[in-house]
Amino acid sequence: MSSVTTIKDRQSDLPVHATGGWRGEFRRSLPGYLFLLPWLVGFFALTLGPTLASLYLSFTDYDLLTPPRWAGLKNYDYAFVHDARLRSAVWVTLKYVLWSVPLKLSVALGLAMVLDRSVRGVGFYRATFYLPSLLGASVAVAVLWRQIFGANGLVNQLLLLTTGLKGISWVSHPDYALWTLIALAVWQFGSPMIIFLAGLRQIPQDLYEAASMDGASGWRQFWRITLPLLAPVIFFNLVFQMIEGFKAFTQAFIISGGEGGPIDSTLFYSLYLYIEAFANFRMGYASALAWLLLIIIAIFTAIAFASSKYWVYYEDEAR
Amino acid sequence: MTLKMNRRNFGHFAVGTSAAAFLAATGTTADAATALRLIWWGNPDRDKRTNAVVDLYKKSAGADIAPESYPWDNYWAKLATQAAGKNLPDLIQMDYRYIFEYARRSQLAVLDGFIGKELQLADFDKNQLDSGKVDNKLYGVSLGANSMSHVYNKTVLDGIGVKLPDSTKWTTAEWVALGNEMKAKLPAGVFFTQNMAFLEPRLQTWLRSLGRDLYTADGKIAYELGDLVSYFEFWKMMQDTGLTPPADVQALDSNKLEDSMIVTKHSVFNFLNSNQLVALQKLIENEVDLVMIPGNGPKAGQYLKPSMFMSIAENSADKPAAAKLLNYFVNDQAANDILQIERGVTGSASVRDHILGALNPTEQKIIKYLGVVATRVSPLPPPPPKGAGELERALRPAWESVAFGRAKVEDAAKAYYDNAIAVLARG
Amino acid sequence: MSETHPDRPVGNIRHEWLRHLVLGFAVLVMVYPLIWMFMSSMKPDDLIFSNPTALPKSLDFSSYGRGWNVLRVSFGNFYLNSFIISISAVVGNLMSCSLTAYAFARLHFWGKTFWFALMMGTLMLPYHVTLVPQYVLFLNLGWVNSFLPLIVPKFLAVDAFFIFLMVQFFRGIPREIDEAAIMDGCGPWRIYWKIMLPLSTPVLATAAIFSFIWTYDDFLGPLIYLNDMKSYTVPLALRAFVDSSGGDSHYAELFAMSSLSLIPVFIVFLAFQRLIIRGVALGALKR
Repeated sequence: MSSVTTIKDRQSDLPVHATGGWRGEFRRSLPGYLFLLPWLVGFFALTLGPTLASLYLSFTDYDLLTPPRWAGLKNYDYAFVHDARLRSAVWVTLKYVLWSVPLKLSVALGLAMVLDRSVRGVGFYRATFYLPSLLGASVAVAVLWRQIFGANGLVNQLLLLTTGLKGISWVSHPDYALWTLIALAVWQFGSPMIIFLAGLRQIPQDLYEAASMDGASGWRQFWRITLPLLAPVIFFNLVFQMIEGFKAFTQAFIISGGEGGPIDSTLFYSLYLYIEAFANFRMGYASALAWLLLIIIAIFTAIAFASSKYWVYYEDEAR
Repeated sequence: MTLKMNRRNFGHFAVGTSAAAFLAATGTTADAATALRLIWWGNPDRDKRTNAVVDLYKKSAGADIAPESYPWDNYWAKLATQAAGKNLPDLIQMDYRYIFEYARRSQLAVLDGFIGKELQLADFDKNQLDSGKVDNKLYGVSLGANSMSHVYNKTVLDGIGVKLPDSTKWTTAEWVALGNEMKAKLPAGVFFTQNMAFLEPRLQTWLRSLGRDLYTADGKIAYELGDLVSYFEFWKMMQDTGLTPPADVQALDSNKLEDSMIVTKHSVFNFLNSNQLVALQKLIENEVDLVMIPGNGPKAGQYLKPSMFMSIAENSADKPAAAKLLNYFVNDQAANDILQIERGVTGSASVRDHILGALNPTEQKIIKYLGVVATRVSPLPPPPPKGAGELERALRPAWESVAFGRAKVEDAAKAYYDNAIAVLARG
Repeated sequence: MSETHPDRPVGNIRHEWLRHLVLGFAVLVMVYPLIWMFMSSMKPDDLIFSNPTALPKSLDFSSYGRGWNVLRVSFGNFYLNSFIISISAVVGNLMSCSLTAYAFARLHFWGKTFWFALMMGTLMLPYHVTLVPQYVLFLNLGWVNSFLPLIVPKFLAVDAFFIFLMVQFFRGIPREIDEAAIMDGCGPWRIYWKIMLPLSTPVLATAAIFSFIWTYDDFLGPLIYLNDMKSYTVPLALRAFVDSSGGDSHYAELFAMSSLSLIPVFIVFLAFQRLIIRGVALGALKR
């Protein structure tokens, strides 16, 4: 995690007294810890306990209605060796992340760039692009999506009108149902778009002016000015959307009716976890699944952070 | 619209809001501490009725009740979480599938001790009463009976001029023949029936008409692989001959009434639990009615089952008071004037007679239907074993792999069957 | 010296025309589902599903009135509860997360990498498994059936997303400004309060919007911790309109109330998005 090591190395922010040893370290660290205090309290009081409890539960048989019974590595063994449904859930989730994250970010960035200019009515456009994200994961979305992608839905009606072809029911067909969920994710690109907008606003205008005066084209300006200066924000959106993509649950839950169908084609990892925990009374197994997911996400995040060394430059690093 | 907020203003705003938030947050805890808690799953109509009954009880008994209700999809997660914290509400609405799990894990109170005292169940239908027993002890009182059925679009059938035979005796073959006869006369996009292969209750009536069942009393599988194969083969034939909608259209049915094939105008026949007729009629302009399920064997396939129960939590602080409220729900005439048959037809004979007059035509159809069913039922099946819920849900992907042409009938049936044995053994 | 970063100048007329076309099409795609929902709120339930794309026969707003009162508690209550919780969450998040982010972005202290990794770690665990242990924790504190489990964590920087977001933004502000302030004798608090925060209006406004909207939309937290219907939030109340166990659902009312529930979040968004757009004075200060 190079970005963080760089934070650690910079020494020039506070006056450093000449004391060495742990006392000096204590003095230097004190302001940091004072600022960190709310988070530390929250972490130790509210997060650490339940997190460790869930780790403990992953080694037990726990049906929620009776106290947990120690089961050793049984859950993990089952997950790795016997659980075919888990493998399919991992594959579905991976597919979802690999497609929806780049698509969502591209659309978000593209539209943010278009909206960064003073087009007439830009406030209106910004607001309407954000509207779908406001719907979040409400029940209405599930009904909506089935109406649009269902057998007699809007998509099929348009298809019939324009090409005369009779479409299948996309949202309930095992080959296409996942794609309707990817479309849903991309449709709700409002959040990353807003973040991109905020990031674009931080780029000083005079850089573009100077580049224009030097005769640089719009495309060159994008590559040479926008992208590099936006890199920390792109990185942030990438990491966050990826993490959220792996944990995705509600949309799959409400659109598939809670089952991940048809034929488990929309059985997201978190949905499978939820079913095991609350429908099959296997909370111990579900906890093991959760920790396995954490490891998967951590690996991907670590890869992202490691790669950031090569393409993300921060304002506050030595040039 | 600019927001004038410099840091000082924000600081004041922050302190003020935090204080207000704390006050608001702590306020709600005070009042509900000693009230009797009642929880159920439902819909706005059931909520209105139940809350009216609660208010009536508060007035008449002077007790304090704190009602809570949640949609079915979230009910069990909330209940299980509360159970984990030993914080279950005093009165719990229970489902046939879950009552055994909760009772066997000592989360529900045994009700036998209250019978004859707080709980008056003398004129209660014996079958319905027994259905709430686990290991011979009473854990829940049935709130109403219903039975499986085929619902059909009466307007369409009348329009074609089809009259249905006596459904207490009809066979699957007769039903299919009817479908073939009607096929040409149906409008485009409308099929004879929904595909019911993935509905475990339908499989159950299939097996029971052959004299078998899903599970034995000691929790093992009670049918053969061959039964499942012929069941799947039947429904594959129905799909292939165009008597049911194609696989992708059928897969739109997410077990919600509004997505069912009959509502979305894709079929004439549909599977239905009898107490859902009223809600279904509200979603369709045409008139609908109920018939019994055709049998493919000599025995009676259907049975009268409890739609839902009311149970008392083992961690309840005041069980006698809870029992009194339960008694009010099932026996009080004024209460049942409000509840009517929304949860099913009540087991108390006197209450049943009392409310009959006030029912609307659709509701009366339900009562009439249950009367017909009662002439041809077989005894209640044994309580479902642990894992039965999981197997019920697993039937769907198994069927869908056949329906979408991903697997052969024999392979899919065998995979499901083997998995069922494993799940039942896993315990 | 202009304080704001003005909108970038427009290209020639043909470009603008094309831009409007693309945007217009995008708007239609974005908004059509919402229009569908609004239209459906004016149709009777039996037509919504059997004839999904048909237009309503008349502009019938009665479902709005019915929906407002269809549950035992009127919808006004639910809005009030949602506001209390969401606004508190905004205040809590802005306060606690900016403090934490400042520590990670600007200060150095022993063990910093370790704490940062832990903070990132909290983002990765699916919440369903900490749900039950957290419930038991709050139950033992006596906070169940109140707003406390939904509000107090926000004041303790539990939402690592906002910490991470603010860290990235703080790091975009050049150190020279800090150094100049230190030269003038400022300590870390003053730098935070007088320099970092004012320069961070875009990210603070962003955090405020997201904080409000995500808390407003949160369903699982209120489901688990609120028992009394009088204390429900809007999303929780909306779910009660539909009964998937086959009972009587009220779809027209659901769509009516869902459409209405978009309005507060929309207003919050409109109000705060100006703060993002107003931009940072930085560009002008830098040179």
